[in-house]
Amino acid sequence: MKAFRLARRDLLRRLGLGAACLPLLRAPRARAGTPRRHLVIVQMSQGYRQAYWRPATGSLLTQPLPPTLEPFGDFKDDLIVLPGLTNPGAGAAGRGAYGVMFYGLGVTGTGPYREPTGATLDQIVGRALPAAGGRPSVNLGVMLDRAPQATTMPGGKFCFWAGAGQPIEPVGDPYVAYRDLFAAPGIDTPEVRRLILRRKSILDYVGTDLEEYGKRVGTPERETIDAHLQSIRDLERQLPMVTQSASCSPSAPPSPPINLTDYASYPRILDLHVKLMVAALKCGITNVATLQLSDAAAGNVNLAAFIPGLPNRAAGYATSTLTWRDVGHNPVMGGVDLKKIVDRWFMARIADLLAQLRAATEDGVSLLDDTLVLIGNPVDDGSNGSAQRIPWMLAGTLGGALNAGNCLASEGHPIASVMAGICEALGVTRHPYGEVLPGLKRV
Amino acid sequence: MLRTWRLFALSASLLACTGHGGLHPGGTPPPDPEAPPPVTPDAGLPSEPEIPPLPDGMTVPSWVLLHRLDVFEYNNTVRDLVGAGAPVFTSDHLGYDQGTNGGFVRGGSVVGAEDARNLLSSAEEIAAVVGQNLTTLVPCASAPASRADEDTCADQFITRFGLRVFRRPLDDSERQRLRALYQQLRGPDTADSFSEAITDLTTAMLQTPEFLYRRELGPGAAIKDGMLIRFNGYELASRLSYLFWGSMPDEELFNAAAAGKLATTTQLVKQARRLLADGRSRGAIEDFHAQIVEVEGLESAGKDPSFTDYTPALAHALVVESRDFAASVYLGAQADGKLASLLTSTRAFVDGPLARYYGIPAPAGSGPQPASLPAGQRAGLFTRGAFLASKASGDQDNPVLRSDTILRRLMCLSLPEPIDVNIPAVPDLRPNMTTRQRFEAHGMLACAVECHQKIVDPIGYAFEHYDATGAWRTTDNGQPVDSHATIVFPSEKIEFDDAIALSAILARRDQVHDCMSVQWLRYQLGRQEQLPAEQPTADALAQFYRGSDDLRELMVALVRTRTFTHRSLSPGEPTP
Repeated sequence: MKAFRLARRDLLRRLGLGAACLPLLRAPRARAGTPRRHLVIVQMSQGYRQAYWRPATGSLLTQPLPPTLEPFGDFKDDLIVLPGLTNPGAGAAGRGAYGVMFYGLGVTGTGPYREPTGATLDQIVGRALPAAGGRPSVNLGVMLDRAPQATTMPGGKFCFWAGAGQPIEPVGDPYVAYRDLFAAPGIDTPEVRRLILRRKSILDYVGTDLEEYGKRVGTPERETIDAHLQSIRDLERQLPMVTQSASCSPSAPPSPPINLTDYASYPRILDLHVKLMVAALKCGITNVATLQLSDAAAGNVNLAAFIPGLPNRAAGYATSTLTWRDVGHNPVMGGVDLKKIVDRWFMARIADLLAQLRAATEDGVSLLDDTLVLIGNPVDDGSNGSAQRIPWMLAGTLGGALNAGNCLASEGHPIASVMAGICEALGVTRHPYGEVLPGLKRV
Repeated sequence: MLRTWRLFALSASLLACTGHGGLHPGGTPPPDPEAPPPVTPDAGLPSEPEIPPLPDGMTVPSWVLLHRLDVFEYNNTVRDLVGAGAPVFTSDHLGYDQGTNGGFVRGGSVVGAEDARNLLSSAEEIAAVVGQNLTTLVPCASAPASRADEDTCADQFITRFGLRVFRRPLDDSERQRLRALYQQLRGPDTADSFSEAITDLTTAMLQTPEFLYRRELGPGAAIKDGMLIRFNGYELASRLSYLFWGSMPDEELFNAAAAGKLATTTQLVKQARRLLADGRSRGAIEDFHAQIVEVEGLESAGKDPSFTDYTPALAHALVVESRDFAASVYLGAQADGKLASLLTSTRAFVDGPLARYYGIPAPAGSGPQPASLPAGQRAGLFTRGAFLASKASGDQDNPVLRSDTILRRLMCLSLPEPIDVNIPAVPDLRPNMTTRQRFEAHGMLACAVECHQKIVDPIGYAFEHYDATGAWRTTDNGQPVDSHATIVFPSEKIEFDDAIALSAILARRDQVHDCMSVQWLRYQLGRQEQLPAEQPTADALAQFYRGSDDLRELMVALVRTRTFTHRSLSPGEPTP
């Protein structure tokens, strides 16, 4: 779902208050004391040009990073490169694997866009590491809704799932996300308290009704109802949180608002999302943040509008777009490897995420020290579309829990083995992923 | 973006309701579920011949998916629930609809606090309208004199309005929980006034699964019919109303359910014909065809600036025109319900800009006016601008996209995507190279011959006379357009000169008729048919439709199927 309209359209009307009186819903500052653990997952697309991405197996500290990974020069110590992973059950075709790229435990159906049979990694971790703000995860996306859409099938647009048939709609508008997560300083008046009480009563009734309804349906429907019920409970938990430390709020997004459908806005939206993710983790709103950078087809955004070095195909012709899918399938044009340029541009954005995590602190500790970043991709290389040679990366050491600073011999190992290592490094000991990839955990 | 076009359907069906004298949802008092069922007009008349079910008794219907109201259904339901002043919501408020394996959408899952919050906000917005219309919806609310009167009136509200929200009578425990909520809201902590409490009750009811999901349950225990469950009267009332109107049942359907008058195939068919004749059916018919031609997102997609005549307003008009045309095959003075009309008619409804787009004289009068499109250029739904512009990139038409939709939607063929092979891109534009020449170069690649060169691409080439905006052209990149092609199936070859000829061929093929019956079945079920268990229903529908050749009769025939009246128990569902 998208817009957060509670404050503007309802609360203000009911209270007759001004624009400063934005949401009731906000998270308190996190606890002091026990170390927190965070997970960030970034979804990339169309694989990588392997010749420019893949380092030699072994330490990254003793070799120059390949061109695509050069933006991570300051994070060599934190980086784990994981080439050639498999995603059993995801099939072989590229775009079909998108919906299950962070699942790894089998899939339903054999259609063009596969779907998981349960929750994805972000939810497994988010539920096991509850944040003070009550959100299992914050899920953001860039221009996923921009036309043309390749499909309305959930597996073609969503890669994070609360359960079978329960895709999580990422928030694409950073202004909406900001209002939702932070907004203005809270208000705490008798009228607001009364409104909260009324809503709590209503939501309590709705929750009870969902519980009763769930008793009358079968197992598949009950999963959907359970997710709905959990959503109500999450909202109930957030209702009383009226106040929040102002020091925890990020700067508001720029005004006037950027155009969210203009191709050229893509990097601005991405940058704002990164800032929001970092702030949400720092503020204890959630311990898990995800960022989707494309849908399965990756064919709706003109990369040439904002990535330097990409030719404008319009020159001399009536053409106008150069999408991720275009460069994935046809990487070299006019002797120039355009996909290499694209890969590197996105890596630089993710390196910026790492830099912001490093710069942010909680309890005097760099946020990056408490955070693991997973950079996932559904396929090996857009030109072969293989979903069984998957290039993943991790960034973050979590206090030395992982064997960072290395390119591991991960070929042929399932993504579940990496997710097992992620869970265990985060302290999530009960997980469904089985054995940890050999060499991933620091002995 | 998603579903903006579905809002047009809402507006259109509102207008249609007015024009056809349809029931005004807020203007009639809701039925009293505690009152005895009214005597229906046909009581005492000689009984009509019984209409039998379709011969699909061997079908074992699947269990029912939990289908959250999609944006179209939610808005229609709210419209019919609260009447005048009903707010209209978009995907931004309700979440994006999700595709299903049947090719039609359903409401998205509710996952996370944001989703719950948006449903809360929407419910509050609707409840505010209910609060303003309280005396219409519940006459006792006009002036309750005491707290006791207010409590009694609240009970009436729970019973009467609750029936319409839940689409069935509430059971005792459900009424009790709502009474408890009412009392809590009137208590010292929140100190709601009477009207505030009724408004808050409404907010609560509108967030229940009974309102939000089309998986009707009850009242009472499920009715066992052998190994299956037979839907009860209220469940069938909803299945009827959502099929024909995309909305909740009206008073007559509620009364029929209460009186047990939805028990026979004859009674279901009678109601189906009534609903189809009501102006509200237009929205569902338009919705079905808009999803068939997949025009979602056209208005926000934009086109290359070199198409100077193509504007967002034109894109909007194209979508409306496509919907108007589809509806005109089913409804109105010229409707004949024929697939041939849907696929070959030149009938259209155009305003000045659309007339210019289609190259015909501007009509007199304002707004869309009846017109005929050029017979040599346009024939039926798939040669209209909305489909053609949707299945194109910003600057180039795309034969593969156009063909893919024809194959899936009209021929029910789904070609597998090549696995683990490099699928080279279609070559870039080069001077003097037509779209067809670019795609032919691609289609000659070894990996593409079997599907692309023989089946996919030829269908797309038929549409080469239409550019990226769907406008007619005779040249492409300076060269004459070549739309002649041959489809090479394993058992036959189909040759045609252009999209006009292809449309005529498709309109005659049993395969397309059969596919259309399958598509309507999927729309009604909200999923793909389960094979082989539901094959008898698909076969019976196809057989019926071949005989009738009337899409309206096909819609009505859906209620004669076993998949309409029965279901299986879900895995893990409590056994009745």
